[in-house]
Amino acid sequence: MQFALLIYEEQDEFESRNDPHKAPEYWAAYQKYSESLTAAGVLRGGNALKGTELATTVRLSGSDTAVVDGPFADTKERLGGLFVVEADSLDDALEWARKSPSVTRGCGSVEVRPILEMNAG
Amino acid sequence: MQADAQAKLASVVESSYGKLLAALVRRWGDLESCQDALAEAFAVAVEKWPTQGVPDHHEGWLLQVARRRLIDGYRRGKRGQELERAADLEREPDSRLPDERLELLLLCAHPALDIKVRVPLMLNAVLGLSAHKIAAGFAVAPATMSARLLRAKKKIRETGLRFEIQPGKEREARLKSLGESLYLAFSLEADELGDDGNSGEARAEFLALARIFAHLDPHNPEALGLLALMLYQSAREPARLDSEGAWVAFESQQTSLWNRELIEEAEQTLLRAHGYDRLGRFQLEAALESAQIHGRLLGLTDWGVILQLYEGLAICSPTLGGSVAHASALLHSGHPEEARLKLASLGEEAVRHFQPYWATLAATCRKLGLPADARLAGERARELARSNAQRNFLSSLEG
Repeated sequence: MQFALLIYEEQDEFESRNDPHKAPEYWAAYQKYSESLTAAGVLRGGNALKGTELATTVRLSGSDTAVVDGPFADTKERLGGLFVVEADSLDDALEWARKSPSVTRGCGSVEVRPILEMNAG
Repeated sequence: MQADAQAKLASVVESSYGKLLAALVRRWGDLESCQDALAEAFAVAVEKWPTQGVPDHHEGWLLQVARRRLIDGYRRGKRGQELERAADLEREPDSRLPDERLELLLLCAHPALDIKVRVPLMLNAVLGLSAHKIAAGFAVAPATMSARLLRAKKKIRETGLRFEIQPGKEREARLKSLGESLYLAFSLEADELGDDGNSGEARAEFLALARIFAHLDPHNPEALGLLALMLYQSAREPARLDSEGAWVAFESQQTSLWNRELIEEAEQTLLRAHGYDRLGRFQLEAALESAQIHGRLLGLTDWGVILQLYEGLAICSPTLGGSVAHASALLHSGHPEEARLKLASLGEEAVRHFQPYWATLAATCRKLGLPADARLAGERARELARSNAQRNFLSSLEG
């Protein structure tokens, strides 16, 4: 089965992407992580996301759609990106989540969610 | 003949439910469909055993029927992967039944499951208790318990939680979580259901799980320590409330009501645990029970040993409850000033809703001749008391 590893980051960690002093280390950590997923043959997809200041949320409001500036929920940690991995069990997916830079760098967390298989049945 | 078959079936359910389920879950992974299949196997037995006789290898018989159901169920699913699995299962030889209930317990103690559902899930999976019965022990509505169990089983299925855990850090953590979850349920039961007549029954079930845990993990001194601790506390259970249902403090409990057989079993269990020379939280807490029980039985309490054990506990597993109990031991051993200092060292926020803190503070202030402070703390303790028995006891202290 496949699991999404949703990478949540604190504001400072997220912004270190654009800080010339911190960015090399930040990207190197993700590069290494992504390589280890590839080497294990479990990486199925994923992307990094731009900042929540660029986010726009759409929802139905009455009979019309409302478009609002900003992310769905303003929380301390924001979604910075995601990886999709192949794993036999949540236990294996959790092992990968533990190794993610947002966890090992101590500046965020990973939400692990099984992916719904649409072609089943 | 019919009655024989019925009795046999009841005894198989009691002794083999967890083992049969563990054997199915090992191969299948999905706790819920395995339980359904096992329930169907028992239903077939109810129908056939009275007329056809009880099979010699009744466990193997039940396992075979349950497997058949699972295979049929998956065939109906018609998914490629599941068909493969069904074929795979048919090749599985029907060998003897290994006891893998510890793995089943560890699956229920998985950190990805809500802490509140772990022990109910153990009772359901390992002892085969119904949601209805478990609900009574946890003082929640049967529908609520049922929903909690279903949600946990769904998570096990949908995320493929693993049945087998290799020895290592993960397994150590899971064993620790198993012990802690069990003790939490056991002690909550004692506190919260003080007024409930059913409480003894639920505690007996937690004790049954602790026995299984200690039996299946015999080289784990903490599993033995936990069992010893629960045995000591169960032994004192009959003296916990007086004839009017009021809570009785340890110092005033009628020792003739204590169950000597359980105390003896606890002693033996604790002795075995100490043989491993690897101390831990549960062994220390059991040793404290032992020292205090013997103090009462001999009419002479060795406070030196007790205070030393509390200090050990503070290092090995510092908890709020442990610190408050330590203060209480200081008070009872004639060190009220030290007890007050110990209580004062605890964080204000942490103790705000912690009932034993206020009860101990009230007693300490009374001893130190501070009646106004004692009254305030006593009022707070009564507000926070979770049972009438406890409230009445606290009121009686005020005199």
